[in-house]
Amino acid sequence: MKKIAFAAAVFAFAAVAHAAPATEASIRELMETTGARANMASSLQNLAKALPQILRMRAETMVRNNPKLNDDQRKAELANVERRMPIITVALQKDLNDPKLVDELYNQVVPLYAKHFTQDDVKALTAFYRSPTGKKSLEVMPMLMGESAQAAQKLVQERAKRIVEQTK
Amino acid sequence: MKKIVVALIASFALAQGVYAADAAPASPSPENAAAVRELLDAMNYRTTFKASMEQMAKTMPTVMRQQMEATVKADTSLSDAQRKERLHQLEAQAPKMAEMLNSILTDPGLVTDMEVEMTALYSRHFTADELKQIAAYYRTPVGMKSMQVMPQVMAESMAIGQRVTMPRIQKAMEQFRKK
Repeated sequence: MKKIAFAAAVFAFAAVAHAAPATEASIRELMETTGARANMASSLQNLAKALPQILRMRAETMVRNNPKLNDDQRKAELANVERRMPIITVALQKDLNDPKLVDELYNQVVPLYAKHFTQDDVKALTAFYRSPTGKKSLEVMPMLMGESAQAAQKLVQERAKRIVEQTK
Repeated sequence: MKKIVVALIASFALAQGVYAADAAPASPSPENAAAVRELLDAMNYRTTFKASMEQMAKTMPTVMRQQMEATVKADTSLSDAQRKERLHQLEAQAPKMAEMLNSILTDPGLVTDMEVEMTALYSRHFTADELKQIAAYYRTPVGMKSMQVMPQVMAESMAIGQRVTMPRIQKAMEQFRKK
């Protein structure tokens, strides 16, 4: 199925663009260069860490808002949620830190690149990310993105505060 | 009334997380500042930033309202009548809140201020030479193409990620419910 979709994407692209489609090997090379595997693994790990907290909050809210429970029952239910948390934490860790999952993701992202980029594109991208500046931008960009989001948030917040002061 | 809305916006912005205490932006050298300006220009920064703020102005009011409603609904210290009253207030304030957010996010001064921040940020991480090289890359056909296409590729990758992880998350949740 995956192969058919891949072939279809490549065919469609080649037909429209008349450009050599990117080979799977060259896309994998690009992805290795950009550290896609490590990035995928670390976002899955982040998900595995964040999910239990979200689930806990949701479960606790449900218990607190259940009008059928009296105080004692509510207390017991909350303890129950607490008791079950380690189980789900372990289960999610195990499922999301599975190397097979990264492989699966990886295999599906390859055709995605083939759909959007020609062989020449992929070669040029790989060359840039292998250059010292390209390498450095790969390292620095995630941090820079985070910092620029914080800067934007700061500016928006300052403006909101200014409006608060003015309306006082 | 206006005050409540603004306070809500401010508290929401705060709740989004703590940002690093202002590392007073060391003013970059003129050479660096010029190189960042050139890079931001090559990146089409102004247009992209404006578009993402406009997008945010569209989606944020709904997200904020849902979060606030959830907070009111989860507040056990409220009586049913109080809760109803609060929800009613939220509903009434929603358009005003959206309007105010919109005026903050689409204020042209915001992009200008953001460019100052970006100049300091990029200068802290890159030398003028590196900035020039990155700008040159974004001006090549593949650099331009990757800028155009990447948001789409990222969105599609995210969708793949969700599709692949969802069954595993659901399985874990079922285990959680059973035990």
